[in-house]
Amino acid sequence: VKIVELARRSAEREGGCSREQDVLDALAGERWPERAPEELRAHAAECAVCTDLIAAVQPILADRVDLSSEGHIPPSGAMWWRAQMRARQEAAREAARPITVAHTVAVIGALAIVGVAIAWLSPVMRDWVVDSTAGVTSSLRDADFRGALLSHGWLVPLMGLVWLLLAPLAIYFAMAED
Amino acid sequence: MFRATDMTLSEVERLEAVADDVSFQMDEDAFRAFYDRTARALWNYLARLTGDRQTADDLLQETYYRFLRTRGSWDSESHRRAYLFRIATNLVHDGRRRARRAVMVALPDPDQMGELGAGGDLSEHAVQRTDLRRAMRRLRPRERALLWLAYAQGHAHSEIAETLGVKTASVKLLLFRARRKLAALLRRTTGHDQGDLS
Repeated sequence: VKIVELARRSAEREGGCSREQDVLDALAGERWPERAPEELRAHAAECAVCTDLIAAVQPILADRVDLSSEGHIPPSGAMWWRAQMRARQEAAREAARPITVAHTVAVIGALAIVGVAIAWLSPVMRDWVVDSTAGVTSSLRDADFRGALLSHGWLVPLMGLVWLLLAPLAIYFAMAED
Repeated sequence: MFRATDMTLSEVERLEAVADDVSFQMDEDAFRAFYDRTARALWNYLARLTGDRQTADDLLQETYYRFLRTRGSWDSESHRRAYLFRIATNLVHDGRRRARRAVMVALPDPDQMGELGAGGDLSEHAVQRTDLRRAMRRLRPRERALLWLAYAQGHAHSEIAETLGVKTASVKLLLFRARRKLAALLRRTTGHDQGDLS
């Protein structure tokens, strides 16, 4: 009994038994237990490793057989076609991203410029801006910076127009891969 | 925000050219042959790992798509297959992590749902299957994958190591432990059932 126990512990330490593969072959070949050799059955009855092996593997093999008749596996052609479609959609989405970004930036920039231009050209808004920034711009008054800007009222819309045309192009070319 | 009608003709042509330029790591014939050889085994693996047929269907498609998009080269069919199963294993783990975060997406309980073919059949065979599913659910995901790959799929230890990202030398011991655990769980389940009946 001691020898058997020692052998069992030794096999467990190593994580296996020398007859493990024979038992597995018999299980996989559906020869277990009826058509398995008598001595193998006798060994399995004594060996803890092989007993566990049979207890675990037999239901797994039976389950695999059952699973094989379940579930619908799509045909390979359909799988290929779906993968192609998805890859194309992803590629197109990826390629369109720089254009989307450029359009978004252009729209935001244009709205901002139009807003500034309207505010600047409107006499009421201009007076309000001038009054509210009087303290800040007092130091610039000597250089007549504000006066120059006001006397060239067309300069701001022109700058906006240039920005409107060039910025999206610049961003687009900067982000394009080619 | 962005619509096709916003694009110029050259932009549309460019996008079409990009979409036509899609290429996979294998051609259609090679893929279809590989798929026919592996799809059933992969579905079984996914179904047993997730315990849910619908999830297995979804993950099957996702696995093959990611496999096709990978730029890789494999020495042999065995490496290629191991890579495919590795993608599947990672997808299952990702799904499990997401499900853990979103508590409402819990894996179905086979006891309640009778999924994957039990169909309410209370024959001995069906009871055995339910016992196995219940016991498998109590194993760690890696143990489940190990047992299925080794005994249901018959993969070599090196292939299992590649699939699960462990050392080949460790596979034997890990398998031994997983097997012992499953056997104990199955015995306990059967013992419980017998106890209930008596």
